Amino acid sequence: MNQDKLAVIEMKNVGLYYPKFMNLFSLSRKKHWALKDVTFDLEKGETLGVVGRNGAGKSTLLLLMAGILKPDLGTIYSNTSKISLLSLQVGFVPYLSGVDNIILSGLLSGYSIEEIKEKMEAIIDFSGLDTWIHQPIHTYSTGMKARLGFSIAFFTDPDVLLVDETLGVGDARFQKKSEEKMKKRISSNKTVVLVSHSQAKIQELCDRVVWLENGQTVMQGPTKDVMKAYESGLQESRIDMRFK
Amino acid sequence: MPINRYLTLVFYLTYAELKSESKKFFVSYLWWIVEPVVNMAVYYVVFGVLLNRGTDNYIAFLLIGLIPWRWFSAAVMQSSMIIGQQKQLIKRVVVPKTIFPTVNVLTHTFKFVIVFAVLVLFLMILGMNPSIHYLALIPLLISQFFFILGVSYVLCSFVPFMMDLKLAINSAIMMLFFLSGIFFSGENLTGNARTLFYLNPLAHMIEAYRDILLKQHWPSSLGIFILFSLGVVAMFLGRFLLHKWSHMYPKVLR
Repeated sequence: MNQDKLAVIEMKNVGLYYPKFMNLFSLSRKKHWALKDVTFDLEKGETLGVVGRNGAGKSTLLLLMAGILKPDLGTIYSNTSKISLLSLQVGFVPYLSGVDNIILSGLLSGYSIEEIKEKMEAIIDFSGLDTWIHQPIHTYSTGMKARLGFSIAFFTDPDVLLVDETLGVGDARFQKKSEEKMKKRISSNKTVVLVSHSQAKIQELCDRVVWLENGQTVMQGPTKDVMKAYESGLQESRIDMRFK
Repeated sequence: MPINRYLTLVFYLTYAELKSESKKFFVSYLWWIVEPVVNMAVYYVVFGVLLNRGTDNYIAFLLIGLIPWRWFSAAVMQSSMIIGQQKQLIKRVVVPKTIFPTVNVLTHTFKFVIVFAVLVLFLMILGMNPSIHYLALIPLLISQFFFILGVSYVLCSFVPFMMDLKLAINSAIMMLFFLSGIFFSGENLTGNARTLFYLNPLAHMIEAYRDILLKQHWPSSLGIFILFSLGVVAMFLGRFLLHKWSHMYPKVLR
Protein backbone atom coordinates (compact mmCIF):
# COMPACT_ATOMS: atom_id res chain seq x y z
CA MET A 1 0.00 0.00 0.00
CA ASN A 2 1.03 3.56 -0.61
CA GLN A 3 2.22 5.29 2.52
CA ASP A 4 0.29 8.47 1.84
CA LYS A 5 -2.97 6.56 1.45
CA LEU A 6 -4.87 6.06 4.66
CA ALA A 7 -6.80 2.85 5.06
CA VAL A 8 -10.24 3.36 6.63
CA ILE A 9 -11.00 -0.35 6.79
CA GLU A 10 -8.47 -3.17 6.58
CA MET A 11 -9.67 -6.71 6.05
CA LYS A 12 -7.20 -9.53 6.58
CA ASN A 13 -8.06 -13.14 5.66
CA VAL A 14 -11.63 -12.60 6.72
CA GLY A 15 -14.03 -15.54 6.87
CA LEU A 16 -17.62 -15.83 8.02
CA TYR A 17 -20.10 -18.69 8.23
CA TYR A 18 -23.84 -18.98 8.56
CA PRO A 19 -25.08 -21.89 10.69
CA LYS A 20 -27.32 -24.24 8.76
CA PHE A 21 -30.75 -24.92 10.17
CA MET A 22 -30.70 -27.85 12.51
CA ASN A 23 -33.32 -29.92 14.33
CA LEU A 24 -33.48 -33.00 16.50
CA PHE A 25 -33.77 -35.31 13.50
CA SER A 26 -30.90 -33.83 11.53
CA LEU A 27 -28.29 -33.01 14.10
CA SER A 28 -25.49 -32.24 11.69
CA ARG A 29 -23.74 -29.11 12.83
CA LYS A 30 -23.01 -27.85 9.38
CA LYS A 31 -21.71 -24.45 8.54
CA HIS A 32 -22.00 -22.59 5.33
CA TRP A 33 -18.93 -20.45 4.78
CA ALA A 34 -20.19 -17.36 2.95
CA LEU A 35 -16.75 -15.78 3.09
CA LYS A 36 -13.58 -17.85 3.25
CA ASP A 37 -10.59 -15.66 2.69
CA VAL A 38 -11.06 -12.01 1.91
CA THR A 39 -8.25 -9.49 2.11
CA PHE A 40 -8.31 -5.87 1.00
CA ASP A 41 -8.02 -2.28 2.22
CA LEU A 42 -10.56 0.45 1.81
CA GLU A 43 -8.78 3.75 1.41
CA LYS A 44 -9.99 7.12 2.49
CA GLY A 45 -11.83 9.02 -0.22
CA GLU A 46 -12.05 6.22 -2.74
CA THR A 47 -15.03 4.54 -4.30
CA LEU A 48 -14.59 0.82 -4.16
CA GLY A 49 -16.69 -1.51 -6.26
CA VAL A 50 -17.43 -5.09 -5.25
CA VAL A 51 -18.28 -7.53 -8.02
CA GLY A 52 -18.97 -11.24 -8.15
CA ARG A 53 -21.72 -13.64 -9.07
CA ASN A 54 -24.80 -14.37 -6.95
CA GLY A 55 -23.74 -16.01 -3.72
CA ALA A 56 -20.16 -14.79 -3.98
CA GLY A 57 -20.51 -13.09 -0.58
CA LYS A 58 -20.91 -9.45 -1.59
CA SER A 59 -23.80 -8.60 0.71
CA THR A 60 -22.22 -10.43 3.63
CA LEU A 61 -19.08 -8.40 3.05
CA LEU A 62 -21.01 -5.15 3.42
CA LEU A 63 -22.67 -6.36 6.62
CA LEU A 64 -19.19 -7.08 7.99
CA MET A 65 -17.92 -3.65 7.08
CA ALA A 66 -20.98 -2.06 8.68
CA GLY A 67 -20.22 -3.90 11.93
CA ILE A 68 -23.52 -5.77 11.86
CA LEU A 69 -21.69 -9.09 11.57
CA LYS A 70 -18.35 -10.03 13.10
CA PRO A 71 -15.78 -12.19 11.30
CA ASP A 72 -15.29 -15.81 12.39
CA LEU A 73 -11.84 -15.84 10.85
CA GLY A 74 -9.27 -13.13 10.28
CA THR A 75 -9.44 -9.53 11.40
CA ILE A 76 -11.16 -6.34 10.41
CA TYR A 77 -9.62 -3.11 11.46
CA SER A 78 -11.54 0.12 11.00
CA ASN A 79 -10.52 3.56 12.16
CA THR A 80 -13.91 5.22 12.05
CA SER A 81 -17.17 4.39 13.75
CA LYS A 82 -19.36 6.27 11.31
CA ILE A 83 -19.85 3.53 8.78
CA SER A 84 -23.35 2.91 7.60
CA LEU A 85 -25.24 0.72 5.26
CA LEU A 86 -27.46 2.72 2.94
CA SER A 87 -30.76 1.18 3.84
CA LEU A 88 -33.72 3.20 2.82
CA GLN A 89 -36.73 3.40 5.08
CA VAL A 90 -35.05 1.46 7.85
CA GLY A 91 -37.23 1.44 10.94
CA PHE A 92 -40.00 3.46 9.32
CA VAL A 93 -43.17 3.41 11.38
CA PRO A 94 -46.26 3.88 9.16
CA TYR A 95 -48.41 5.67 11.72
CA LEU A 96 -45.85 8.33 12.59
CA SER A 97 -45.33 11.60 10.77
CA GLY A 98 -42.44 12.19 8.40
CA VAL A 99 -40.67 14.32 11.02
CA ASP A 100 -40.95 11.62 13.67
CA ASN A 101 -39.67 9.06 11.21
CA ILE A 102 -36.67 11.23 10.36
CA ILE A 103 -35.80 11.38 14.07
CA LEU A 104 -36.32 7.65 14.58
CA SER A 105 -34.37 6.65 11.51
CA GLY A 106 -31.52 8.97 12.44
CA LEU A 107 -31.35 7.68 16.00
CA LEU A 108 -31.27 4.09 14.75
CA SER A 109 -28.39 4.93 12.43
CA GLY A 110 -26.40 6.18 15.40
CA TYR A 111 -26.88 9.94 15.33
CA SER A 112 -27.72 12.11 18.30
CA ILE A 113 -30.94 14.06 18.46
CA GLU A 114 -29.01 17.34 18.08
CA GLU A 115 -27.29 16.16 14.92
CA ILE A 116 -30.62 15.11 13.47
CA LYS A 117 -32.36 18.37 14.30
CA GLU A 118 -29.52 20.27 12.66
CA LYS A 119 -30.08 18.42 9.43
CA MET A 120 -33.85 18.30 9.64
CA GLU A 121 -34.44 21.26 7.34
CA ALA A 122 -32.07 20.05 4.65
CA ILE A 123 -33.67 16.60 4.72
CA ILE A 124 -37.19 17.99 4.41
CA ASP A 125 -36.09 20.34 1.63
CA PHE A 126 -34.44 17.64 -0.42
CA SER A 127 -37.34 15.24 0.02
CA GLY A 128 -39.65 17.83 -1.52
CA LEU A 129 -42.42 16.69 0.79
CA ASP A 130 -43.31 20.17 2.00
CA THR A 131 -46.30 20.14 4.36
CA TRP A 132 -46.75 16.41 3.84
CA ILE A 133 -43.86 15.96 6.21
CA HIS A 134 -46.25 16.38 9.15
CA GLN A 135 -48.63 13.69 7.91
CA PRO A 136 -48.31 10.06 8.98
CA ILE A 137 -46.29 8.25 6.35
CA HIS A 138 -48.86 5.54 5.71
CA THR A 139 -50.69 8.24 3.75
CA TYR A 140 -47.65 8.67 1.45
CA SER A 141 -47.32 7.15 -1.99
CA THR A 142 -44.51 4.67 -2.56
CA GLY A 143 -42.53 7.37 -4.33
CA MET A 144 -42.89 9.80 -1.46
CA LYS A 145 -41.71 7.23 1.03
CA ALA A 146 -38.71 6.43 -1.16
CA ARG A 147 -37.88 10.13 -1.36
CA LEU A 148 -38.00 10.53 2.40
CA GLY A 149 -35.90 7.41 2.89
CA PHE A 150 -33.24 8.56 0.49
CA SER A 151 -33.11 12.08 1.90
CA ILE A 152 -32.50 10.72 5.39
CA ALA A 153 -29.87 8.28 4.23
CA PHE A 154 -28.16 10.92 2.17
CA PHE A 155 -28.03 13.70 4.71
CA THR A 156 -26.91 11.63 7.65
CA ASP A 157 -23.54 11.64 5.90
CA PRO A 158 -21.38 8.89 7.42
CA ASP A 159 -17.60 8.69 6.87
CA VAL A 160 -18.04 5.48 4.93
CA LEU A 161 -21.20 4.79 2.98
CA LEU A 162 -21.97 1.21 2.01
CA VAL A 163 -24.39 0.82 -0.88
CA ASP A 164 -25.87 -2.53 -1.81
CA GLU A 165 -27.74 -2.08 -5.05
CA THR A 166 -28.63 -5.74 -5.23
CA LEU A 167 -30.99 -5.12 -2.32
CA GLY A 168 -33.10 -2.93 -4.59
CA VAL A 169 -32.53 0.50 -3.14
CA GLY A 170 -35.53 2.69 -3.89
CA ASP A 171 -37.98 2.42 -6.75
CA ALA A 172 -37.43 3.14 -10.41
CA ARG A 173 -39.08 6.55 -10.40
CA PHE A 174 -36.87 7.95 -7.72
CA GLN A 175 -33.76 6.19 -8.95
CA LYS A 176 -32.69 8.97 -11.29
CA LYS A 177 -32.66 11.72 -8.70
CA SER A 178 -30.96 9.53 -6.13
CA GLU A 179 -28.42 8.36 -8.66
CA GLU A 180 -27.39 11.88 -9.52
CA LYS A 181 -27.00 12.69 -5.87
CA MET A 182 -25.04 9.50 -5.32
CA LYS A 183 -22.69 10.32 -8.18
CA LYS A 184 -22.11 13.76 -6.75
CA ARG A 185 -21.27 12.23 -3.42
CA ILE A 186 -18.97 9.71 -4.97
CA SER A 187 -17.06 12.36 -6.89
CA SER A 188 -16.87 14.55 -3.77
CA ASN A 189 -14.01 12.63 -2.23
CA LYS A 190 -16.17 10.60 0.14
CA THR A 191 -15.48 6.98 0.90
CA VAL A 192 -18.05 4.72 -0.70
CA VAL A 193 -18.34 0.98 -1.19
CA LEU A 194 -20.66 -0.02 -3.98
CA VAL A 195 -22.11 -3.45 -4.67
CA SER A 196 -23.89 -3.59 -7.98
CA HIS A 197 -24.89 -6.05 -10.68
CA SER A 198 -24.52 -3.33 -13.27
CA GLN A 199 -21.03 -3.53 -14.74
CA ALA A 200 -21.58 -0.21 -16.47
CA LYS A 201 -22.22 1.52 -13.18
CA ILE A 202 -19.13 0.04 -11.58
CA GLN A 203 -17.04 1.08 -14.58
CA GLU A 204 -18.36 4.60 -14.38
CA LEU A 205 -18.23 5.22 -10.64
CA CYS A 206 -15.47 3.20 -9.03
CA ASP A 207 -11.77 3.94 -8.58
CA ARG A 208 -10.94 0.40 -7.60
CA VAL A 209 -12.70 -2.93 -7.71
CA VAL A 210 -12.59 -6.09 -5.58
CA TRP A 211 -13.69 -9.27 -7.33
CA LEU A 212 -15.18 -11.95 -5.10
CA GLU A 213 -15.82 -15.55 -6.08
CA ASN A 214 -16.99 -18.26 -3.68
CA GLY A 215 -16.15 -16.13 -0.69
CA GLN A 216 -12.61 -15.40 -1.79
CA THR A 217 -10.93 -12.36 -3.27
CA VAL A 218 -9.96 -13.35 -6.81
CA MET A 219 -8.51 -10.04 -7.82
CA GLN A 220 -8.38 -6.41 -6.80
CA GLY A 221 -7.00 -3.26 -8.35
CA PRO A 222 -7.86 -0.41 -10.70
CA THR A 223 -11.36 -0.68 -12.15
CA LYS A 224 -10.22 -1.15 -15.75
CA ASP A 225 -7.98 -4.14 -15.11
CA VAL A 226 -10.29 -5.97 -12.75
CA MET A 227 -13.41 -5.46 -14.86
CA LYS A 228 -11.61 -6.72 -17.95
CA ALA A 229 -10.60 -9.90 -16.17
CA TYR A 230 -14.05 -10.23 -14.57
CA GLU A 231 -15.85 -9.93 -17.87
CA SER A 232 -13.70 -12.51 -19.58
CA GLY A 233 -14.12 -14.71 -16.52
CA LEU A 234 -17.89 -14.46 -16.84
CA GLN A 235 -17.71 -15.30 -20.52
CA GLU A 236 -15.61 -18.34 -19.86
CA SER A 237 -18.05 -19.64 -17.31
CA ARG A 238 -20.91 -19.08 -19.75
CA ILE A 239 -19.09 -21.17 -22.32
CA ASP A 240 -18.49 -23.82 -19.65
CA MET A 241 -22.18 -23.92 -18.88
CA ARG A 242 -23.10 -24.37 -22.53
CA PHE A 243 -20.90 -27.41 -22.91
CA LYS A 244 -22.00 -29.09 -19.70
CA MET B 1 -23.71 3.64 22.67
CA PRO B 2 -23.68 6.53 25.18
CA ILE B 3 -26.38 6.25 27.82
CA ASN B 4 -28.24 9.42 26.83
CA ARG B 5 -28.48 8.32 23.21
CA TYR B 6 -29.64 4.89 24.35
CA LEU B 7 -32.39 6.44 26.47
CA THR B 8 -33.48 8.80 23.68
CA LEU B 9 -33.77 5.89 21.32
CA VAL B 10 -35.73 3.85 23.87
CA PHE B 11 -38.04 6.81 24.45
CA TYR B 12 -38.73 7.38 20.75
CA LEU B 13 -39.22 3.70 19.97
CA THR B 14 -41.68 3.34 22.85
CA TYR B 15 -43.53 6.46 21.75
CA ALA B 16 -43.63 5.12 18.18
CA GLU B 17 -44.94 1.75 19.33
CA LEU B 18 -47.71 3.23 21.50
CA LYS B 19 -48.68 5.75 18.88
CA SER B 20 -48.95 3.21 16.09
CA GLU B 21 -50.88 0.80 18.28
CA SER B 22 -53.43 3.49 19.02
CA LYS B 23 -53.68 4.65 15.41
CA LYS B 24 -54.33 1.20 14.06
CA PHE B 25 -57.81 0.90 15.51
CA PHE B 26 -61.00 2.86 15.26
CA VAL B 27 -61.52 3.24 19.02
CA SER B 28 -57.74 3.66 19.39
CA TYR B 29 -56.71 4.37 23.00
CA LEU B 30 -59.92 2.96 24.36
CA TRP B 31 -58.65 -0.53 23.49
CA TRP B 32 -56.13 -0.24 26.30
CA ILE B 33 -59.06 -0.28 28.71
CA VAL B 34 -61.71 -2.21 26.78
CA GLU B 35 -59.53 -5.21 25.98
CA PRO B 36 -58.42 -5.98 29.55
CA VAL B 37 -61.90 -5.29 30.91
CA VAL B 38 -63.50 -7.76 28.49
CA ASN B 39 -60.78 -10.25 29.23
CA MET B 40 -61.26 -9.99 32.98
CA ALA B 41 -65.04 -10.09 32.70
CA VAL B 42 -64.64 -13.54 31.15
CA TYR B 43 -62.53 -14.75 34.07
CA TYR B 44 -65.02 -13.33 36.50
CA VAL B 45 -67.98 -15.04 34.83
CA VAL B 46 -66.17 -18.37 34.66
CA PHE B 47 -64.49 -18.45 38.07
CA GLY B 48 -66.61 -16.08 40.09
CA VAL B 49 -70.08 -16.99 38.89
CA LEU B 50 -70.14 -20.31 37.02
CA LEU B 51 -67.70 -22.17 39.26
CA ASN B 52 -69.23 -20.34 42.19
CA ARG B 53 -66.19 -19.47 44.22
CA GLY B 54 -68.22 -16.54 45.38
CA THR B 55 -66.59 -15.65 48.68
CA ASP B 56 -66.67 -12.07 49.89
CA ASN B 57 -65.07 -9.60 47.53
CA TYR B 58 -64.12 -12.39 45.15
CA ILE B 59 -64.19 -10.07 42.17
CA ALA B 60 -61.77 -7.65 43.85
CA PHE B 61 -59.62 -10.58 44.97
CA LEU B 62 -59.53 -11.94 41.41
CA LEU B 63 -58.85 -8.63 39.66
CA ILE B 64 -56.03 -7.69 42.02
CA GLY B 65 -54.36 -10.96 41.05
CA LEU B 66 -55.15 -10.80 37.36
CA ILE B 67 -54.08 -7.27 36.48
CA PRO B 68 -50.45 -7.45 37.69
CA TRP B 69 -50.29 -10.98 36.29
CA ARG B 70 -51.30 -9.77 32.83
CA TRP B 71 -48.60 -7.11 32.93
CA PHE B 72 -46.07 -9.87 33.53
CA SER B 73 -47.42 -12.48 31.12
CA ALA B 74 -48.19 -10.20 28.17
CA ALA B 75 -44.85 -8.39 28.38
CA VAL B 76 -42.76 -11.54 28.82
CA MET B 77 -44.51 -13.48 26.06
CA GLN B 78 -43.98 -10.73 23.53
CA SER B 79 -40.45 -9.98 24.70
CA SER B 80 -39.41 -13.58 24.18
CA MET B 81 -40.07 -13.17 20.46
CA ILE B 82 -38.97 -9.58 20.09
CA ILE B 83 -35.55 -10.21 18.50
CA GLY B 84 -37.19 -12.19 15.72
CA GLN B 85 -39.89 -9.58 15.26
CA GLN B 86 -37.26 -6.88 14.83
CA LYS B 87 -35.07 -8.80 12.40
CA GLN B 88 -35.37 -6.21 9.64
CA LEU B 89 -33.76 -3.66 11.94
CA ILE B 90 -31.24 -6.04 13.43
CA LYS B 91 -29.94 -6.87 9.96
CA ARG B 92 -29.57 -3.22 8.99
CA VAL B 93 -28.32 -1.18 11.92
CA VAL B 94 -25.96 -1.65 14.83
CA VAL B 95 -27.85 -1.04 18.07
CA PRO B 96 -27.58 -2.66 21.50
CA LYS B 97 -30.04 -5.55 21.41
CA THR B 98 -31.31 -4.80 24.92
CA ILE B 99 -33.21 -1.90 23.36
CA PHE B 100 -35.87 -4.15 21.87
CA PRO B 101 -37.03 -5.97 25.03
CA THR B 102 -36.74 -2.71 27.00
CA VAL B 103 -39.05 -0.89 24.61
CA ASN B 104 -41.48 -3.77 24.68
CA VAL B 105 -41.58 -3.90 28.47
CA LEU B 106 -42.08 -0.12 28.66
CA THR B 107 -44.98 -0.29 26.21
CA HIS B 108 -46.68 -2.95 28.30
CA THR B 109 -45.92 -1.01 31.47
CA PHE B 110 -47.64 2.07 30.08
CA LYS B 111 -50.76 0.07 29.27
CA PHE B 112 -50.65 -1.61 32.69
CA VAL B 113 -50.55 1.72 34.51
CA ILE B 114 -53.83 2.74 32.85
CA VAL B 115 -55.56 -0.50 33.78
CA PHE B 116 -54.13 -0.37 37.29
CA ALA B 117 -55.55 3.12 37.77
CA VAL B 118 -58.94 1.81 36.66
CA LEU B 119 -58.59 -1.01 39.21
CA VAL B 120 -57.93 1.44 42.05
CA LEU B 121 -60.98 3.44 40.98
CA PHE B 122 -63.02 0.26 40.95
CA LEU B 123 -61.86 -0.65 44.46
CA MET B 124 -62.88 2.80 45.65
CA ILE B 125 -66.34 2.26 44.19
CA LEU B 126 -66.50 -0.98 46.20
CA GLY B 127 -65.71 1.10 49.27
CA MET B 128 -62.02 0.25 49.65
CA ASN B 129 -60.41 3.64 49.83
CA PRO B 130 -56.62 4.05 49.48
CA SER B 131 -54.78 3.76 52.78
CA ILE B 132 -51.26 4.58 53.95
CA HIS B 133 -50.28 1.06 52.90
CA TYR B 134 -50.52 2.17 49.26
CA LEU B 135 -47.02 3.59 49.77
CA ALA B 136 -45.74 0.02 49.59
CA LEU B 137 -46.92 -0.05 45.98
CA ILE B 138 -43.89 2.01 45.01
CA PRO B 139 -41.24 -0.64 45.80
CA LEU B 140 -43.61 -3.39 44.66
CA LEU B 141 -44.28 -1.86 41.23
CA ILE B 142 -40.59 -1.07 40.75
CA SER B 143 -39.59 -4.62 41.71
CA GLN B 144 -42.13 -6.15 39.37
CA PHE B 145 -40.90 -3.89 36.57
CA PHE B 146 -37.32 -5.09 37.02
CA PHE B 147 -38.47 -8.67 37.34
CA ILE B 148 -40.32 -8.46 34.02
CA LEU B 149 -37.37 -6.70 32.40
CA GLY B 150 -34.88 -9.30 33.66
CA VAL B 151 -36.95 -12.29 32.57
CA SER B 152 -37.53 -10.61 29.20
CA TYR B 153 -33.80 -10.04 28.61
CA VAL B 154 -32.86 -13.63 29.42
CA LEU B 155 -35.63 -15.24 27.39
CA CYS B 156 -35.21 -13.09 24.29
CA SER B 157 -31.48 -13.79 24.21
CA PHE B 158 -32.08 -17.55 23.80
CA VAL B 159 -35.20 -17.79 21.66
CA PRO B 160 -33.65 -16.83 18.27
CA PHE B 161 -31.35 -19.87 18.48
CA MET B 162 -34.11 -22.29 19.31
CA MET B 163 -37.57 -21.33 18.25
CA ASP B 164 -39.00 -24.30 20.20
CA LEU B 165 -38.43 -22.27 23.33
CA LYS B 166 -41.28 -20.02 22.29
CA LEU B 167 -43.71 -22.91 22.76
CA ALA B 168 -42.06 -23.97 26.01
CA ILE B 169 -42.33 -20.42 27.35
CA ASN B 170 -46.00 -20.19 26.47
CA SER B 171 -46.68 -23.48 28.27
CA ALA B 172 -44.70 -22.40 31.31
CA ILE B 173 -46.61 -19.14 31.50
CA MET B 174 -49.91 -21.00 31.23
CA MET B 175 -48.81 -23.24 34.09
CA LEU B 176 -47.75 -20.31 36.26
CA PHE B 177 -51.10 -18.69 35.53
CA PHE B 178 -52.82 -21.44 37.47
CA LEU B 179 -50.12 -21.89 40.12
CA SER B 180 -49.41 -18.33 41.19
CA GLY B 181 -52.49 -17.90 43.32
CA ILE B 182 -54.61 -15.76 41.05
CA PHE B 183 -57.74 -17.81 41.70
CA PHE B 184 -56.99 -18.93 45.25
CA SER B 185 -55.03 -17.79 48.23
CA GLY B 186 -51.82 -19.57 49.23
CA GLU B 187 -52.67 -19.06 52.88
CA ASN B 188 -55.14 -21.92 52.69
CA LEU B 189 -52.48 -24.39 51.59
CA THR B 190 -50.68 -26.73 53.99
CA GLY B 191 -47.58 -28.91 54.09
CA ASN B 192 -45.53 -29.49 50.95
CA ALA B 193 -48.04 -27.77 48.72
CA ARG B 194 -47.54 -24.59 50.72
CA THR B 195 -43.73 -24.82 50.59
CA LEU B 196 -43.78 -25.37 46.83
CA PHE B 197 -46.29 -22.61 46.28
CA TYR B 198 -44.11 -20.02 47.98
CA LEU B 199 -41.04 -20.95 45.94
CA ASN B 200 -42.67 -19.02 43.12
CA PRO B 201 -41.76 -15.33 43.27
CA LEU B 202 -44.94 -14.45 41.38
CA ALA B 203 -47.00 -15.94 44.23
CA HIS B 204 -45.31 -13.54 46.65
CA MET B 205 -45.93 -10.73 44.24
CA ILE B 206 -49.65 -11.35 43.94
CA GLU B 207 -49.98 -11.80 47.65
CA ALA B 208 -48.25 -8.47 48.21
CA TYR B 209 -50.75 -6.71 45.94
CA ARG B 210 -53.61 -8.26 47.90
CA ASP B 211 -52.06 -7.30 51.22
CA ILE B 212 -51.92 -3.69 50.12
CA LEU B 213 -55.09 -3.27 48.11
CA LEU B 214 -57.50 -5.73 49.65
CA LYS B 215 -56.45 -6.36 53.24
CA GLN B 216 -54.90 -2.94 53.66
CA HIS B 217 -51.86 -3.93 55.65
CA TRP B 218 -48.12 -3.91 54.92
CA PRO B 219 -46.89 -6.68 52.59
CA SER B 220 -43.96 -8.95 53.39
CA SER B 221 -40.80 -7.07 52.46
CA LEU B 222 -38.99 -10.37 51.87
CA GLY B 223 -41.26 -11.22 48.92
CA ILE B 224 -40.67 -7.84 47.32
CA PHE B 225 -36.95 -8.07 47.95
CA ILE B 226 -36.76 -11.51 46.30
CA LEU B 227 -38.67 -10.24 43.28
CA PHE B 228 -36.36 -7.26 42.93
CA SER B 229 -33.11 -9.20 43.38
CA LEU B 230 -34.09 -11.92 40.94
CA GLY B 231 -35.06 -9.24 38.43
CA VAL B 232 -31.77 -7.38 38.71
CA VAL B 233 -29.68 -10.55 38.51
CA ALA B 234 -31.63 -11.73 35.46
CA MET B 235 -31.25 -8.31 33.89
CA PHE B 236 -27.47 -8.38 34.13
CA LEU B 237 -27.32 -11.96 32.91
CA GLY B 238 -29.61 -11.22 29.97
CA ARG B 239 -27.72 -8.08 29.09
CA PHE B 240 -24.47 -10.00 29.13
CA LEU B 241 -25.89 -12.70 26.84
CA LEU B 242 -27.46 -10.21 24.43
CA HIS B 243 -24.13 -8.43 24.09
CA LYS B 244 -22.18 -11.63 23.76
CA TRP B 245 -24.42 -12.98 20.98
CA SER B 246 -25.09 -9.58 19.44
CA HIS B 247 -23.48 -10.52 16.14
CA MET B 248 -25.01 -13.98 16.02
CA TYR B 249 -28.60 -12.75 15.71
CA PRO B 250 -28.28 -11.34 12.17
CA LYS B 251 -26.81 -14.71 11.19
CA VAL B 252 -29.50 -16.96 12.57
CA LEU B 253 -32.54 -14.83 11.78
CA ARG B 254 -33.71 -15.66 8.30
